[in-house]
Amino acid sequence: MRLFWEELRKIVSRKLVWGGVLFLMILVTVWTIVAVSEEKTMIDGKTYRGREAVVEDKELAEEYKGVLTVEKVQDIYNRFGFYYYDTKTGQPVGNFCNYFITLNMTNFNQTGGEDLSQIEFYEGTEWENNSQPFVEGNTEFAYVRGWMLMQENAMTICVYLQLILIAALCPLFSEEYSLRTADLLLTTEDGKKKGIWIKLLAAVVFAVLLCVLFGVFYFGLYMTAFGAEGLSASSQLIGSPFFGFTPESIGGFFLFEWALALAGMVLLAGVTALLSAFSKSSFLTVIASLIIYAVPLIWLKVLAPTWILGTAGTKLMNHFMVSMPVWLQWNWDFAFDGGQISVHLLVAAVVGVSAFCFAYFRYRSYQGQK
Amino acid sequence: MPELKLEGVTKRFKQKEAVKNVSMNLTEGVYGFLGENGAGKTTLLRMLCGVLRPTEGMITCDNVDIRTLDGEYRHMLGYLPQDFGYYPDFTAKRYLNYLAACKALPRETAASKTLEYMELVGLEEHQNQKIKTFSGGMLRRLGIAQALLNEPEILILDEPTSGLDPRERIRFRNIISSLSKDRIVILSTHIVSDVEYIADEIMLMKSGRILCQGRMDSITKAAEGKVWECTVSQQESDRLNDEFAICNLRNVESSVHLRIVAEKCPVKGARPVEPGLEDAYLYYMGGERE
Repeated sequence: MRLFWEELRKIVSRKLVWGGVLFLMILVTVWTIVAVSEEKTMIDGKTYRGREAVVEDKELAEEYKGVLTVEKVQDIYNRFGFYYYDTKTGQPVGNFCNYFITLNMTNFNQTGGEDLSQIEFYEGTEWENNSQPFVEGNTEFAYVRGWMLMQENAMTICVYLQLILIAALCPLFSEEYSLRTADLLLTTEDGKKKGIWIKLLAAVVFAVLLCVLFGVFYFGLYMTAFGAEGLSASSQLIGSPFFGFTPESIGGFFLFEWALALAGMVLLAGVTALLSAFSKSSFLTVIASLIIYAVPLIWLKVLAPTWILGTAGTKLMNHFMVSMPVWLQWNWDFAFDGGQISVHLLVAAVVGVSAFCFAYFRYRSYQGQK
Repeated sequence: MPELKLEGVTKRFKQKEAVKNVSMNLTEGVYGFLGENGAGKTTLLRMLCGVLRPTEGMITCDNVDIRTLDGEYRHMLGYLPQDFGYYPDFTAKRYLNYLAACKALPRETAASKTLEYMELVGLEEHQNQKIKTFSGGMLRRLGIAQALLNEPEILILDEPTSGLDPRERIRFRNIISSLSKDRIVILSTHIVSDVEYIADEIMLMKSGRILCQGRMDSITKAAEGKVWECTVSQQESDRLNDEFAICNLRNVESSVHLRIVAEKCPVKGARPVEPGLEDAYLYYMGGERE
């Protein structure tokens, strides 16, 4: 146990880790404060700002809470019109409810939102594809403004956390080589066997703690700023797709999303540990880790569209790549079904366990510096 | 008391044979491996520690391969590497506690042993100081302290006095000497005086091979009649320096006093003297003897 705490302490006490986490905490706190202060809502001719806007929007949304119907949408439109940007002031005009229907049921994004006369409801196939699913009787509407904002940044936060993890774990083994402590540790009773597993366990625990604790902090921030309302509302309100596997509620969706992110973090811990076990330089390990981290990104964005491995090969490789840390957290956005997501998690587990095992054997077989 | 046996141990790195066919038995006592840089001492010691695997041959402890013994062997081992690695931002106490945990010492034992050995090596006042602030001598002392934490039956010290001033070196020798009872102490060095006073058995190593092995008197005996002293001119000194192994050179007014290792009398007027270990070392290193 002592060895575990000491290994964990070694990882956590790195200035880069503390600095990175602190910076991220300050950043998201500032984002949240700015988000609340910039909130503006217009209801029945009155304008509200900041926290007052949040309170008023909540009250308004409460009137339409529950299953979203065409009648509710029509009522919102009749009362408040479309949400738009006033070209004279540059300020948004509207409230949460008409913002929601304008964003999801009109050509708002295509027009830029500045010319009210151009904004109109989708029609025909555009309505069927984009808006109809909201009003088919399965969507629970509620005030979800805070969760929308939180979701906008969630995946970026996950990427930052992964980069912090890489920086934290690159020295796991490579530092032992460069500081020549490996020559010593590998001659101790536990240092060559149990001690290595403990080191890897500390890496996993760190990855889990980083993801979970920061997730709780992030969630807590937005809950404090915008309230806990809307967690039982439909996850489609904050952008999850209508098809594929995603939990119905926003609360369930966040848990699912962060569970995927957590799986990605643990896998990343394994891959980084493996690269660290092969490299005598922490700096080179960082470079290699970042390159390996980015490979699935490059594959999906650049190579996959060229079908470079043929249809079957490319599809297979696509599934492998979305099982890797940078994409695993995004699995919900690809509209994969439950079976596919399970396969991706299994692939991630196999790769992760293999990485940990190879790291163990590589470090254990270290023959010392010349 | 364990017995270490090396049987035909060889280590090859690509084109180079760092250790060639070394065989010996090691029991209680101090064993000094003496040799120049690149002789294969560190490689041999690393194999004894289990860090390096022999290319050929076997190292056994009580007739069991040390690789088979694995953790059981490392339980008996204390090792001070030539380049003693440490974490710069650790304090001495924290580092020793960490290594105690790696050596599977129970918490209470670890705490008491850490303090005990820091006192032994004179670091108790610096226990809460970061290791990066330590001098070379202090680092070496920390190194010996960590090697002793688990009260090893086999203590392996690679160039333990490297970089130390004479006072530190003497202190080290005394510590090692005091610890040699009921232990196998193996130390490697290229400094003759490190082993001259404390080693029970000395092994001279060159190019991966053991040139000779034995107690100091038997090592120096081979150099009897091969060590000469003379006083010559500067010019003659330069000539002799090119031709023979010079153990000691000292300027005396306008002359030069030389101590020479040579098979025969190197110059008229040179007188034979009793060889010391340094002389024997030069004698063996100058030409291979078996």
